Amino acid sequence: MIKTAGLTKYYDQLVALSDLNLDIPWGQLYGFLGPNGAGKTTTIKLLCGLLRPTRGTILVGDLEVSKHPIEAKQQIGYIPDSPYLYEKLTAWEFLHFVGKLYGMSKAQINTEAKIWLERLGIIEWKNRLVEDFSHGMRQRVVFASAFLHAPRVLIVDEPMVGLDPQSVRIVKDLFRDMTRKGGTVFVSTHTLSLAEELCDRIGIISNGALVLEGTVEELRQRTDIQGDLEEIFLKLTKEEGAVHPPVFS
Amino acid sequence: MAQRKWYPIPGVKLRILWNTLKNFKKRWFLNIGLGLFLANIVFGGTFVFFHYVVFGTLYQFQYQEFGPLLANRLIYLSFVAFFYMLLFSNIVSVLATVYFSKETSFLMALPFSHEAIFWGKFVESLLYSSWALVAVSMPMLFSYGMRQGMSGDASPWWFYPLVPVCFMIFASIPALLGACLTLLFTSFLPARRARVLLMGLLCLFALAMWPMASRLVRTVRQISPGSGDAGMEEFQALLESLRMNPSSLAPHLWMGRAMQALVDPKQWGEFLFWFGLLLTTSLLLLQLMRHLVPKLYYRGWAMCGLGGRRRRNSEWSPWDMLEPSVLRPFHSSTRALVIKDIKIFWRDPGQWVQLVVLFGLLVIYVANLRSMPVGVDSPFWQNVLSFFNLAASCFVASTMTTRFAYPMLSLEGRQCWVIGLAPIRSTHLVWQKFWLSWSVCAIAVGTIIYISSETIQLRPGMKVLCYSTALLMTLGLSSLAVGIGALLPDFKQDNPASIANNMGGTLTVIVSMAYVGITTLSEAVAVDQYMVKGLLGAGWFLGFCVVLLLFNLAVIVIPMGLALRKWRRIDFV
Repeated sequence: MIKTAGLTKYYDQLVALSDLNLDIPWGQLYGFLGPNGAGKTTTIKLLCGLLRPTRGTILVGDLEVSKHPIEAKQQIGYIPDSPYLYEKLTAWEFLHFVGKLYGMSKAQINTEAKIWLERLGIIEWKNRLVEDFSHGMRQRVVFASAFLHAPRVLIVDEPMVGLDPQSVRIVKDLFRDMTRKGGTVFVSTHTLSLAEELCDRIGIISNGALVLEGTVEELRQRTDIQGDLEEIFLKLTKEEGAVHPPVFS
Repeated sequence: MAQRKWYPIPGVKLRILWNTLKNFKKRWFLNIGLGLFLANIVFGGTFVFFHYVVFGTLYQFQYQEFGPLLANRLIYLSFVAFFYMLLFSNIVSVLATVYFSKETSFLMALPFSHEAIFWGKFVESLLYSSWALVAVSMPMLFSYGMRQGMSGDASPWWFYPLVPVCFMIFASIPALLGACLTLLFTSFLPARRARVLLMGLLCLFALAMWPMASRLVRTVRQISPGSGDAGMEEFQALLESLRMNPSSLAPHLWMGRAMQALVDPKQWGEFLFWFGLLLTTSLLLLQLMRHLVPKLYYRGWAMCGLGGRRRRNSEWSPWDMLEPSVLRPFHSSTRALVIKDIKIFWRDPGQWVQLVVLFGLLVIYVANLRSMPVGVDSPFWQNVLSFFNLAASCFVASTMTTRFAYPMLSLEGRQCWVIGLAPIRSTHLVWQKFWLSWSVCAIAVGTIIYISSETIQLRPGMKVLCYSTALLMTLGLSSLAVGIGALLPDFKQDNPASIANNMGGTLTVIVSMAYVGITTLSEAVAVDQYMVKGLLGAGWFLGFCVVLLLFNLAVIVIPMGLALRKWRRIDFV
């Protein structure tokens, strides 16, 4: 479950996110769409506790992230858009490093790391240094690290970048599995077909503010467009202004 | 059509520099002012050190004619050191900048000729690897010119503009030689393996020079204890040990001779000869590289991504053994962070080769102590030697903390999301870096002080004083390096040497050295006045100890306190 109330973030005087209110229950896959510079990555980093909000509150599970950051982070798995990893560690060592940061035992890490590396198809590469990996392989290591500690909330920024079709299928299955088991998945993406196919609800953000939210059907009704999500998205973001000038407080 | 001109490549860097300066906006005065202030401290401090301490001491020698002779030999030795340091740093830098850099891959996809990319990136590498040495050597050479001038005829005015010109030509020789060696090695070996091989060869070469350096220092030591009473025979032995073969083909000899001739207006012709040798050698190497680049560069670069890849046979590395043993008392996340830092450090030869050089200096220093007259009975000499050891060890430690501890938090850089997301406090990372830095530093300094104090048979009281001061100073040095590193992190840079060379790194080294200087010098004077000469009462001495303790505590607490305050509220953008 993710809940935000009046979430606002300024970078100096630039308003990156303004008064965002979200309520995503357990078992839901939520798609977060928006043009470049709309505030998607800022929202994600705020939800993960990587940025501190200027105003507002964030609840992950029943915990407020700014008041109980450690306990809240224990429930979160995060997949960033750019898979920056420690180049001089092997995939296996990286997973052990992450597992230990989450307080997992060595035996637990061994078991979970093996399961996830196998599921993501990189078990053969586990003893290679990350510096030798392609973008897609790094992304798969990041996925393994995000699932390692069995998070209840998964926050994903552009999940399909660099992945081959087989991996895309695996990732879709992982998301579905997670929501089926009662977890929450928050996905930011530009792949509108993916959002339409997978997401239970979709939020569209523009210029740092949430402009529309609902199921695909609800979005159609509210915008009075009977086309696909792409048409709705393009119309909404065009109305909001294709070029997004920075907003200053 | 391929772009054959190389200068647009470093030109972009100038544009980036200009944009950075423009972005200072309101704080431009503060930033540029601080930069100029630090530059003045480095330049002025180096000048004062050489002018008044090094050359000042040499010219106080009992036999007046020895001063210029010793100064010349010292200059020769400095050029030997500079030559090999530049060779080392240029090989590391060329590999990192011209071969491994992601920017090179990007440029390869643009319509630039391979030669243009090589030369553009080589210029960048040359500036990056050589500027610090050029900046440090200028005040040394200016001071040499002024001192030599004072000893006889005045140095001619042209000495000062010609020194930078000569030094840059001299510096270009190891740089070009390093680049040629790199071109040759990478043409038949993947760059990562070539780097290991080249570093290994250079380390072997440095080890081979050790007996020579050790003998040299021993000879110097043998005449030192007599202070002003060095006899002619001992002095001849010293000069003999410092002698350089005039028929040598080594460029450092030519540079030394050129400097020696340049201070004397009557030796203009001789200067031109040595200068000509430097210039023609530099041009010859440049011409050689012009021939090598089109034939070898692309071939070597294309092999960068091959071969160097090594599949590790086991899931475990020997460093994992630390976890159930040495690191057992610590929290699981601390153990993970320490082992991760050690593995990353070990797997980057560009880092540990520099550590080998630093430890080489330490080994020479300790070996040199063996030739000290054992059991110096005079309390004055005991005091001087013990504080000299302490200061020397801590100066080396301050170089280590600036080079290795200061960049540690910045190096987390783009991977900060991993730690920022983990269920640990962000300040935990700052503490982990602090304790790791202190442990390594304390072991290194403690070992040196133990060996050196046993060698010169220090009294127990002095040993306790040295150990406790060293303990405080290692804490202070780690606090300064990690604290300033946390306050001025550079998350966009992934080259540790480059991080250590930035403004924060310069500030760290200056403050660290000043801290070591103030602590050891004031303590040495107080001990001398109280224990040796008896001019200071016990109450005053105790009062001094309390003030010194408070000063050290301030150095330990303030940087770390400010760093923790910043990291409690840090945004991992």
